[in-house]
Amino acid sequence: MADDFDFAALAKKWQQQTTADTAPGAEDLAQASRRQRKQRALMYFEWLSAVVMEIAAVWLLVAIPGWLGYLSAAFLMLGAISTFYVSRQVHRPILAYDNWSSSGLVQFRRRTCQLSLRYYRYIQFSCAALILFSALLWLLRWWQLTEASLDLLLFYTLLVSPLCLVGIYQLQQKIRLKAAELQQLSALAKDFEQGE
Amino acid sequence: MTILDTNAITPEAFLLQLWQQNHQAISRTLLAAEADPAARQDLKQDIFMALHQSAVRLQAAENPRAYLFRIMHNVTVDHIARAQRYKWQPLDEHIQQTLLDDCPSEQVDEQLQNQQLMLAVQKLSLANQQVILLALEDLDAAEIADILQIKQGAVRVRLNRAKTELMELMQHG
Repeated sequence: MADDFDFAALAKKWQQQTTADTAPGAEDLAQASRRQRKQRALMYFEWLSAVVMEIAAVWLLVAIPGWLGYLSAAFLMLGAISTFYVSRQVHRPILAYDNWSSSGLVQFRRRTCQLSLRYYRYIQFSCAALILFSALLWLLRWWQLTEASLDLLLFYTLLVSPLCLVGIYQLQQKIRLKAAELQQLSALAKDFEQGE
Repeated sequence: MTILDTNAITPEAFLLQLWQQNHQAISRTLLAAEADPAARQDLKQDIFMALHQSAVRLQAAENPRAYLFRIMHNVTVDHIARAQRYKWQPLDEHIQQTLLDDCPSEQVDEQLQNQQLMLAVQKLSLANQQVILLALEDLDAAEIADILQIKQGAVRVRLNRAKTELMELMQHG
């Protein structure tokens, strides 16, 4: 069917179309250089924050021996590693567009979108767990099983739980958007896969 | 097309020259990929930025034009994927003016046909649109395979499918 199509004539017609857009000049070049420097500075800043987090983790290990110190240090270490990983594995390669095939790029975006979606759900679950924890504290106090201080109960009831509720609602909005994005990316990925 | 002397100039000057040479092809691709003028301007800047970032490799590339098209198409695909803008929109008045509207009255029919072609290309699925846009700019199967990083056989299959889709769109809207 497509063979009957005079594609050469169509291509000729296509190439005759001219547009009134202007080509970039020296000003655009300067702007691109500025943006590039800014991006590089942002990446170095991320690396620096990862280093600061690692130093803080080591300091915590030395300054606060015991479970609290170890736990805080572990969290900081994880934060430092994930900051460095995201900066190196996600931000840097995605900007090197010459290293990608279009199909690979879409697959990559789909994977990161899936990860974000999981991450949002995990945070949402954590917020729900905190609300449950607040409720449990009240129950324990009600049944007089343990003596949780009133300050702690009020802190969890009046500050943590409402913030968690707001967080769950806002994350739900983000999840809705990400799910739509994922659907679109999956359709695009499928579209590319069909031709290969 | 003029062959650029890649050794005599800086990578940035080389990029500007290469862009000038392919300016119309870039603009046509952008028109087909993004209907919204403001988003198209952003996309153009992103492409220029990505090219600037790869200016040294671009200058050293065996086929700088193919290299330019690869970056342009990848930035465009990324833009569409991130912005969820892959929804077909009709050609707005701005595009109709952008496709040179100062042509003499006897060329109005031809201009309408061009707009019909642009509309059809805009409506193609992204994978088909990519391959058609490259073929319309007279790139051969080997170059398209290099740009899209797929096998030549896959290019032929996709091109055939894209031509069929384009023909149907032009005939039936």
